[in-house]
Amino acid sequence: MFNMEKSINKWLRNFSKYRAFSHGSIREMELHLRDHIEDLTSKGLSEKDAFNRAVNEFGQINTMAKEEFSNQIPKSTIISLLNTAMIRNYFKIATRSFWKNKFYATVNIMGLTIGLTIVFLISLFVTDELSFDQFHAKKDQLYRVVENQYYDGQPVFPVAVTPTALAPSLKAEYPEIANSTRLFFDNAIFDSDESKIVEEEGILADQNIFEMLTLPLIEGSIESFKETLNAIVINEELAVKYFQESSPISKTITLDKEEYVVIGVMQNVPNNSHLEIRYIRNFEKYLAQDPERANSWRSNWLYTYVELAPGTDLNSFNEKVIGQIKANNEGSITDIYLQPMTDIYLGSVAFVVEVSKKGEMIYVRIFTIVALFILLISCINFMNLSTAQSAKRAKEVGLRKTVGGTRQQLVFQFLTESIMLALIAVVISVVLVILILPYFNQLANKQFELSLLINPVAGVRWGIGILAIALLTGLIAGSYPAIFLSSLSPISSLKPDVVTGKQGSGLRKVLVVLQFVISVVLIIGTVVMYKQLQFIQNTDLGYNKENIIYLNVPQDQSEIFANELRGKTGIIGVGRGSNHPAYIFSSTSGIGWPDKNPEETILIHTTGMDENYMSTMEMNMIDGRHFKHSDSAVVIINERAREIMALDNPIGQEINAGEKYTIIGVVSDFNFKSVHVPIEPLMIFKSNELRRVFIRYNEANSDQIVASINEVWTEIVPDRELDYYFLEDDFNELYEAEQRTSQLSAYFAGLAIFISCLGLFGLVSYATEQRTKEVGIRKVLGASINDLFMLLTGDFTRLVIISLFISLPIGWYLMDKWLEGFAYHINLSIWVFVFSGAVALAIALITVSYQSVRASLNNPVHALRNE
Amino acid sequence: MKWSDGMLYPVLHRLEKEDLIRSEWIMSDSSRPRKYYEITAKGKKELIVEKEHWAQVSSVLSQIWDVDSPIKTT
Repeated sequence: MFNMEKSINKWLRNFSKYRAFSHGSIREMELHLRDHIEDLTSKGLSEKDAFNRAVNEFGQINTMAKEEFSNQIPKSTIISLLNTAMIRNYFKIATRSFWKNKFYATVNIMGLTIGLTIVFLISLFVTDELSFDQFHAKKDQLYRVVENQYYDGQPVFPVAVTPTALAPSLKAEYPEIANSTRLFFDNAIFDSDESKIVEEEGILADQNIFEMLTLPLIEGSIESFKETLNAIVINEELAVKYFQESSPISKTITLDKEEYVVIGVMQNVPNNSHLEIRYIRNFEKYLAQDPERANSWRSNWLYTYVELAPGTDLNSFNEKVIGQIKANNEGSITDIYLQPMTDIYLGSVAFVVEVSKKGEMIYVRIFTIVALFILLISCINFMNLSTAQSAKRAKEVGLRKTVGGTRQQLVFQFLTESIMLALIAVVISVVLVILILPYFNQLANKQFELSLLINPVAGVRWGIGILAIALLTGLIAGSYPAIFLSSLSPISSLKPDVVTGKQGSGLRKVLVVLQFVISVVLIIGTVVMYKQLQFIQNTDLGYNKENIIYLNVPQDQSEIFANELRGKTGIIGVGRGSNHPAYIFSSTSGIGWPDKNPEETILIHTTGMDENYMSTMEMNMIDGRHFKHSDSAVVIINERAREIMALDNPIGQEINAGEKYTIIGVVSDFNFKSVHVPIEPLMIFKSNELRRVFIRYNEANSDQIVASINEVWTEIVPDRELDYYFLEDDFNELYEAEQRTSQLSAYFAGLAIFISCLGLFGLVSYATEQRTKEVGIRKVLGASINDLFMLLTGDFTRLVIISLFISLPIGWYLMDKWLEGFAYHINLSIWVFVFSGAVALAIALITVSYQSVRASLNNPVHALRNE
Repeated sequence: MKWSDGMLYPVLHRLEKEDLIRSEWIMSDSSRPRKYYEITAKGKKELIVEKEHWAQVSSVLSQIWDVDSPIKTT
């Protein structure tokens, strides 16, 4: 039997299952149902039928519950926009739209991937360059004392080395100096039972160095360092190399035939240190040979590092110490100042004598800018392709707006799409970075390791950095399309004849021009760098650097060694000198000559040679004669010295360099430093105390040459291993920075133009696709393929040509600045720019042609049927 | 979504929450209590806006669906 009350109660219980319904609303619905049933029974239905029909018409309780529930959640806020259902929907739409536009999505991801890969690699490089010497706990208190020397008629002569007496005198006289150390680079033959190896990158230093720099000891103690003249601290690497598993502490090791006691083992100094230290010997050992040396103010030869007391003002302290050398050395022309430790590596002053590990701030800046530009180029691709395709998306926007989508939601949706793309690109580029890393290390001369990134602290930092870059890229790339697309009015976007993708085309053109300006400037940079390097490598140095091997021979054996070598097959000449021909840094202002103005201090570089050096090097005499074996107290000057000494006929004149020397010849100028600096005056003294032997060999015999040298070596210097170098290699090293930069910039320029063209390709493809029908009709009506090609490519070609006109002056200006850094450089010829422009134009034309030619060759029937 | 009698209530509750309508329970001795809904001033304004909006959409849609639209004549 049907029980009305029971059935109604049962029905009502269904509502209370849902929390959405309040007591009031359940009551409201109960009354609705009861009224309805009453209505139906009064029309003659049975109670049971009336109930069933009323319940049925009332509808599904769960859908009502859902609807009621949506009333209760708060109004949409940023947080609610991020709610998962919404995000899931955005992802769905984004995936769908990528899928629908596979081609454009691929173009976008490819461009972004390349851009991001470059950004990641460059940020590895830049962060490493900027991290130099940051590992010292006292880095903000550490300084190096450097000099400015002032010579008459010559620019300031900055020198990084100082006299022996400076460090102790600063410490003694100024309370601001908490600590000081002298530091001098050293190499020594490490003699073990099995081998004799020259170990480089050692230093001689005062004990204070351990308090100043962060050089943590693993084993031993430096307490007795100062008192123990033959004390040595070695790094882990040397400890393992010479003592394997056993502890080296208190054991002896033979350096240059003398025994040293290992008192400590320190951790390997990190790569990002401008000081490369593998072992430390006691500076007192050097002083012990002649205690007078400690008081020397005359010769600048070692590095002085100081630690300032906390809170010392650098500028006012620099004013106090500026005259420290002048005060102790009468007649000195040298000022000193403190250079912050962390500025040494990337410092802009080109010190005349400087540590070998030196970076260049300008390259750090150039690379950072280039990375950002390349990322910008790939973001522009994204913007252009997205706005160009607005016609396709406009309908979607219109419909969304019509059915109630807010602008905020649309912006969010488009940003989700671009961030998603950026994330995909990030993932791919991280994989690429891992694959490329070994090659990049080679290119950039770095030792980045993956383990560096896996380490928890650095890894998390990099992870956050990478995600931040992805988000930023997504936001930059997506912001304009998002704002642009969401601004479309629903009415116009739903009218089919209004939307053509023309919106935003002005900005798009500007962006394309920007891309090509950046690319062409990079191409110009690469071409100019390449030409300058060619110029340097082929420039007449004043000597022939090819086919020369050189080596260091103990001074007392060098003459016999040279004589033995002469006459061996394949050896053309053997000369001895005190300096490498590209590294002559010793100089003096103490030379006098006839009619010299005694008021003037003029700096003249000096070097020593034997009678065979110049002929071996193939240097040219322009006046007078070479040295002879029997010569003594004679000197040869270079052209620049003749000029500065203002002697009309120098041959036979006497100069005074402590003793009197007669000028017997003038050698034509040769570059004895980097070609960054102009040739300076040089005097070459005939000398016999020479350690460097230079050997010119016949190229045809280059295979056996090392063997013949080794044969003589083992005969004359049996207790040492042969170490030899090729002159040409050093020369390449001298310009390594430029060579590396030129190589890297070639890659960057290539990739920049590639990404730009990728974008152009996308735009042309889209424009062509849009105009398929137009092309078909024009073709039917008789347009030639030529006409059609012009129609399709004209717009884009014009943009590329405009960007050429903008980029040429920019490139000219920038490269002119760069070339100013070289004393000897190419002149910027118009052909460099014509060539760069032509390359860019050709690549761009090929890019736009592909699609256009395809479209214009297409059978018009297909085009017109394409509905 | 299927429209049924019951779906009216969630909609009414939403409108009330947005202050577009207000409600009042009226009790009487003779019959069941009833809840009365009344449009507010804000609701009247919103109604006009929505009506215009709908007219606009409707006109756009009818243009699209218009068989005599000039698009097809080419």
